[in-house]
Amino acid sequence: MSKPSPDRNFEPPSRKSLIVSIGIAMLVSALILVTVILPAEYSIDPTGLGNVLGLTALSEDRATTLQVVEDVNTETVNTVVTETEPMLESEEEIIPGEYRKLPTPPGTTLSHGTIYRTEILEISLGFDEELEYKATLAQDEPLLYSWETDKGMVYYDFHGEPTESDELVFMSYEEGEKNTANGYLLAPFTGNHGWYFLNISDYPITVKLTVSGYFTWLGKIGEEQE
Amino acid sequence: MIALSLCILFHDSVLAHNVSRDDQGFLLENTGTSILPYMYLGAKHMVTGYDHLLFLVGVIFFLYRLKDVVLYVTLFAVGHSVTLLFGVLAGLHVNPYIVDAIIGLSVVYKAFENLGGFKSLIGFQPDTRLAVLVFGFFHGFGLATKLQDLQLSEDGLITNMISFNVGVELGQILALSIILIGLNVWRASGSFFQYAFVANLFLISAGFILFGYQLTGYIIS
Repeated sequence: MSKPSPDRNFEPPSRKSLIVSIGIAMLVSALILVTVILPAEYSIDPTGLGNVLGLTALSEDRATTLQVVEDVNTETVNTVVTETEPMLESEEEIIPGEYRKLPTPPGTTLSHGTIYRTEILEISLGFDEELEYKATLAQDEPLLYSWETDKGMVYYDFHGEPTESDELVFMSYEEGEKNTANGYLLAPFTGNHGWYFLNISDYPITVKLTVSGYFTWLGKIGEEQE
Repeated sequence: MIALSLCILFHDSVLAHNVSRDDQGFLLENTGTSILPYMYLGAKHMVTGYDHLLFLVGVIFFLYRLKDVVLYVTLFAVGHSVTLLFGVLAGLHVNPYIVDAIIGLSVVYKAFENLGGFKSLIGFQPDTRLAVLVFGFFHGFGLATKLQDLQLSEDGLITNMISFNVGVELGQILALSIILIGLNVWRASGSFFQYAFVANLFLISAGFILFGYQLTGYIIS
């Protein structure tokens, strides 16, 4: 104990009462842990009380983050390229106080018969390691994406290569050094679109990549290509 | 083939990335030094970090003289600053569950010491100043992990880290002032010694709960 002042004093408890009290304190801790904290935080509920009190619901969402939807048949996309008409104009007469219908520009919507795919990938990058992850997309298909590192920076190049081309060409959409990026791509051509990642931090990192869309394939660019 | 050429191409440009290129735009956007935000985060972490606060309550529980408060709090600050700076600079990523479990035990230790447990049950009293310093080291590893979770970039790392550390100390002074005022009011009320025993038992319980909570997190993670 640290220097109690001389005029006032704290009487330390006796050995016996100290042992008993600490035992009770530990028992109380264990009880609170098992009945309240573990069910609420981790859905660990040995007594079943957490479920009765509705505490386990607090932590149940956590397990459902990873969702991979089955492969879908990507339908061919009709892309009718017409001359763009000026929006918000029509031949119809303007009647005050009434909504008038605007012509829908081509390519505004894209229908598919199936649910879109979402994949979440955890990509490990050793020190100075580089790799590529790509998705195969038809022209004009959107790809929503988010990626972030657990710590540290990567150099990245978001780019695509057309599969229907006789030449070896690629198009770079965005490049830089970041720890996170979010956005979408409208595929300018049918091909493989994705990210080149290079770990420029001084330690191994993990990139968490989430993509959604009607891609037919998603994965790491194979060794035979490198 | 394409992948290979891309890799080579980009790798070369990366090697030169210190010099120029589109870094400037990026620096403005995402990295560089930001003193006040990091100070704020440091202070916030301390003021809202109940594990650190419980330990501080234990440390100053029986300290009446300002001189002693300053001495022990300085030891704690030196301890956690050393491992905070070292942990981040060395890129150490200590498992946060383990660190937080030890921080929970530090609360138990201090409260047990306050109750004279070492003298009466173990018959040996470890140096109280050394204990605060050593537990300061563990609290610092916890702080380092929190700071690393903020996705530090290399740019301005040291400045940002020191800003965070200064914020931690400011937050600690703020939290300590409030704890001290509360303790003094309590001491003046006359019921302090009556409830000091129970209060430290409460600290022991809270410390064990923190310990069990973090240990379970470690086991299932």
